[in-house]
Amino acid sequence: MPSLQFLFDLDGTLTREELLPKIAREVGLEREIGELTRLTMAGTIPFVASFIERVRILKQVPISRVQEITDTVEIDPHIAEFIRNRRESCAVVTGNLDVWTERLRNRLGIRFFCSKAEAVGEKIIRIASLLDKSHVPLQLGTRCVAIGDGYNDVAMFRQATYGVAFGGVHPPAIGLLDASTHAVYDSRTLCRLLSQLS
Amino acid sequence: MPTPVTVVVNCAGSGSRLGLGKTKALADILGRPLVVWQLEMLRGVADVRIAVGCDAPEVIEVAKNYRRDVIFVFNHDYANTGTAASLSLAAAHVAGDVISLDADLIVHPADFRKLLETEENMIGVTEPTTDEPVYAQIDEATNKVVSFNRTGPGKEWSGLVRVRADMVHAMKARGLAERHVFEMLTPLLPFSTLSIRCREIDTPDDYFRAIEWLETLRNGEGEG
Repeated sequence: MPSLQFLFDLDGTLTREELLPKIAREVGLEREIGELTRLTMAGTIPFVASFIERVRILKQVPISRVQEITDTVEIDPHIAEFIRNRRESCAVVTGNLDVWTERLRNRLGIRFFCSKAEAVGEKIIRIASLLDKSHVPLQLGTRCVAIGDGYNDVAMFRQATYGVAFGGVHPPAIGLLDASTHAVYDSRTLCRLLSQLS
Repeated sequence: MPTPVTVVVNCAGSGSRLGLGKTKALADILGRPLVVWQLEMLRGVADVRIAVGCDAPEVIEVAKNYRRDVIFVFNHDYANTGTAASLSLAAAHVAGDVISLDADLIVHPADFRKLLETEENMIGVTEPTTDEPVYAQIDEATNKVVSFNRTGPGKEWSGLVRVRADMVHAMKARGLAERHVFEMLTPLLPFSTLSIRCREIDTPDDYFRAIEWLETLRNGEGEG
């Protein structure tokens, strides 16, 4: 394994839009998910509780339909190129579910660390495990650069060698800046910095 | 091919002596925050980094709205360390040369261009103006800075320097990049000398003098 690993958050970092609100919008559950997203961003509901609730709402959508929607999610082209040039050194670290992010994993062709669902056919039965993002740098046991934008990236940043707050899609959480070594606000600049670190 | 240059603007400190209740990079100078004046001077520079600490979210907000491709580097221990710590954090992994520019130093743009164009390690010096100057001792034969002291006489160390990035990395590795930049540079001397026109903003008096100077420059009435 390469000595320096790049760990990318998925929603709003690698992708130019958030997955769950996009899925909700496509299947007409925008209002329910939108309110939860707003409360989560405001810190009123903890991320894990919010995620469990959003999965409860969205699990009525057949898995293949969610995957079709994720096929249309735009991935930042500069970050995608950075990854293409060093797939062995890059991974995605997301709290999102394996069954929902499978096709994105295939598109990017890199390792995904994510939460896991128990599913039967097209239906999610339950969340089998929730990813603790801070475990990934520890599990890899090597120098890591964590790249993310949200409060739920703070623990991963604390365990990584470098934490790069990325504000290319929306401003990074203020709390994340306290755990960051760097902050950048466009993806070209992000890739320039990451190339220097590697 | 010219050596690549990274400019580091040191904005991490609290600027308590100025007494504005915010870091100096946010001080309003003729309607614009000080950090925006710095970024305007750096318009042609490809790699600009801003070391942030005190009031970091506010400094970032102002700077990124002016220029999106800045790399912000955090010195979370800004209260216990000096500009050398911010510089060495920002210069980590950089190849080529680094120019260190303190947020509170307004430099004449023509003099700054000379520093961008040189290929040497070079220190900006000025006629002594501040209350507690650090003096650069200059060897007359070579016109190079050979040491620093607080007793003088000599030119004043301005805080502006161009230095090879690998030298900064080496000083950091030796634990010699924690306090003032001039202390970090001392084992690396001699450096070439560049006389610069500038104003440093430490106190309220400095602040008003700097505004006056910038107005003069803007009106093309002199050079400082």
